[in-house]
Amino acid sequence: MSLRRYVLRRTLLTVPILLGVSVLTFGLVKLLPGTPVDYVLQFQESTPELRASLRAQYHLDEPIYTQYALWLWDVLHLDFGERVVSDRSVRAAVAARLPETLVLGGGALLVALLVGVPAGVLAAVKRGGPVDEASRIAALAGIATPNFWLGLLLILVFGVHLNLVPVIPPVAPLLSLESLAFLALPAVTLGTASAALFTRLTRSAVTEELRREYVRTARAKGLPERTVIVKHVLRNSLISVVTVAAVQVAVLLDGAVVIERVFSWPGLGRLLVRAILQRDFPVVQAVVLLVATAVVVANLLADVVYAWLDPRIRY
Amino acid sequence: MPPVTTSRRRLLRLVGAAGAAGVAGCAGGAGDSGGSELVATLAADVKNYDPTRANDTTSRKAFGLVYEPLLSVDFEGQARPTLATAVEQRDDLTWRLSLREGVTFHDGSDFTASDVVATFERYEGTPRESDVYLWYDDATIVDDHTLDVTLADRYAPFRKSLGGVPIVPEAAASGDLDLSTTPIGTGPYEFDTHEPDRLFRLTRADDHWYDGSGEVPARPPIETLTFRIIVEGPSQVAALRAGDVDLANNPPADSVADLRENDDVTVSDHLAGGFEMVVFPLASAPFSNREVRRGIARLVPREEIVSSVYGGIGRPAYAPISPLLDDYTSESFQAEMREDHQGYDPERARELLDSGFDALDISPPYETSIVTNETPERVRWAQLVRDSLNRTDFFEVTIDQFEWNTYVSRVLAGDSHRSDSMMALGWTGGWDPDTFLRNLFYSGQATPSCCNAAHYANDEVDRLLDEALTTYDPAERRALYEDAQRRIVSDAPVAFVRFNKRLEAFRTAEVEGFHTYPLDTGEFTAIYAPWADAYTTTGGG
Repeated sequence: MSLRRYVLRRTLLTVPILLGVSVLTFGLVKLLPGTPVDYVLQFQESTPELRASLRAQYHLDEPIYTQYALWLWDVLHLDFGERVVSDRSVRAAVAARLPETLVLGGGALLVALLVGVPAGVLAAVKRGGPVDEASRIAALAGIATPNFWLGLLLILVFGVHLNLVPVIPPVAPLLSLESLAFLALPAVTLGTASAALFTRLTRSAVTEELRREYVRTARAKGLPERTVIVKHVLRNSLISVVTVAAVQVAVLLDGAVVIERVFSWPGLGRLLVRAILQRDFPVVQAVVLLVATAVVVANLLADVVYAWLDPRIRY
Repeated sequence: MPPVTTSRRRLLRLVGAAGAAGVAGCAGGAGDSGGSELVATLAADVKNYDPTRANDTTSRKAFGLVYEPLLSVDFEGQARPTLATAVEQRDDLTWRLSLREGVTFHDGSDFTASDVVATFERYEGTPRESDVYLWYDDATIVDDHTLDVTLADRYAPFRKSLGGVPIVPEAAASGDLDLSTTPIGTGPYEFDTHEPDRLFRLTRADDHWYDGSGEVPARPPIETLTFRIIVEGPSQVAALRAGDVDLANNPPADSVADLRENDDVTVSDHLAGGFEMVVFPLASAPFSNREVRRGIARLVPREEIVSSVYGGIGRPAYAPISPLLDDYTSESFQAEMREDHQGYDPERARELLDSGFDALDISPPYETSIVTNETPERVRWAQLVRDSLNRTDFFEVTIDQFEWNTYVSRVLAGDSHRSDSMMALGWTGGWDPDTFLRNLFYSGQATPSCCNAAHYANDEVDRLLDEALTTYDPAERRALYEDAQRRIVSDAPVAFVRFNKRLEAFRTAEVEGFHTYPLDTGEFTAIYAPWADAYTTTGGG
């Protein structure tokens, strides 16, 4: 099968997946107890008329499949409706927070790769020695540490006691030096678990690669060890790292929910959690759908890259 | 653009002088205002700027300095002239309102009687309708600065109720102005920016009507008021300790002890207008039995709850009306309710439960639960109540914890009184005693209409509450409310637990003159409230 046909087939496969995701998203949100009406009225006096008019406003009296169809039709036109808690559009609310989450997630991924890959290579090259052992322990600790605890610890040490960085986001543009300096702590916090994963992954991939014939050949030809590792071994090892990095997109978005609260960072994670708590259904549906789409697309990209690197897997 | 902040200075330290030029280049804005800035925290985002729609305390807190009511209620609960200079009763149902002249809204339009009428009437059919339509019937404009308001019935809390109605321009009612994007009021501060989940900023209004006095300067000393939205309690405390914020609004109770030891920070507490309680589902046995309910009320370890859950902040509660309203309740009345009805007394509780279970022909232990939301303090006090009940042979109690909206939909469901669980609930009242009683104990307020989750119905209590609401004489009112409270407390549809206090923590060197308003939604009143002789300065001077 040619690469083009493979990509086409793989892309078409995502359509039913996304459709399934949309049904699940819509259905799960509907399963939550409580309705937007409860949220809007909370502990206030109300009349049956007022409750009925609010129910009508949110289409709560339509059959569920009608509600789904209405919603999907709008979503296909990128219209996610209006928020329950205010009169603003869902699209604007999501768009306002997407850059923040992308920068935080990107920063965390960068931290994870910059720390994890070199540590993994080092551990593989110095297999069995103290460096290898230290990286193993650090990786285990990194995976086991709850990220909200790590975040608060970093805030206390670097923000409060050493007073080196601000504890809350500076009032500055997203891509300013101030904002990026602030982002160091949350990015490290969020990236720690992924860094640990990349360390172990890189170590096993490099170890496996080092046992191959071509490495022995390259060394026999008298190539310097650094060239062997960086030019040949690492390139081949990174294929699996790239694949896992795609899956990490979901993991990082998941972690961002907590980290954004700890660091008061105005991203999608906080929007999602609050929308769930307030039964702001349109927002929950939009964000979940966006995240699911991001994960599906990331996986698609990983498959394509993989197929391009290794023709044997185009079945 | 705000002045150089501590975080900016800190960053300069980080990147060193070499990077400083670059920083100034990309972080600078349209020039610094040079005025003073107060940075305070909000624990949730501001959701809505329209008073007829905002049902969350955070939003009402945030726009409390943007809009002004006709009368404001000061820190002691007295109604004071604000946009109205006088409110006089003409007969049983008619009040004449004289309005302040020379007041303008932030959009430059003049404030007149037609703005007041439009403000009242746009509440109809909105989620906050009852703020006005509990008493409002009609209004007649006499001239630009005088109007007569006709009430639907005699309404004793009329003056204080005016304090809960922020006046907005007539254009908001006609649809020419959208308050949900552009809040326009007459207050000392005007809306500047709102970055969702990040900050909410107000700036000093240039032409506020106040001319100054010996007590209070004509303009607020603080030029910019920035609320930083910090959801996590520990992050709030860290930001205060690091100096990133000047004032933490309502820091978590468990951090107070640490903050009190911090030399840079002042912590104080003020009695607030709310209480915590256990609500009984009156339609299901054994809670349908009065002796059982009274027995449970005798098992609530209030002193222990106040000291161990709330770090000693707050007061044990034995009756609904907060001590904040000292015209309507007293220490001796609370003591009487404690002795006669609800005070902790395991011995007395056992007798009551014994006879209650006998009368119902139920053989203990009875398995039940306490429903609560996730507020940490509320969960902890519910656990103490659970432990106290489980130490008897009558109950096997567990805790059912739900996230907020699920919890709300359970405790405010129309059949909340038929549930087989007790409910841990908090209530915030206002400056009038009716706000502590009607929504919770009046038969017509049974869920889902409002918040009488027990479905308590007592004709005599209904009659007393109605009569008190239409009685203008304070002494008579007090007697009626004492009578109503006695009946409610002895029937024990709920067990009262604790009267709340408000906490504030601020950086001593940066904030001077701030004291917390006792009621939810008004916490930032002291920033600048000339009608209450209150204002705050920054930089300790």
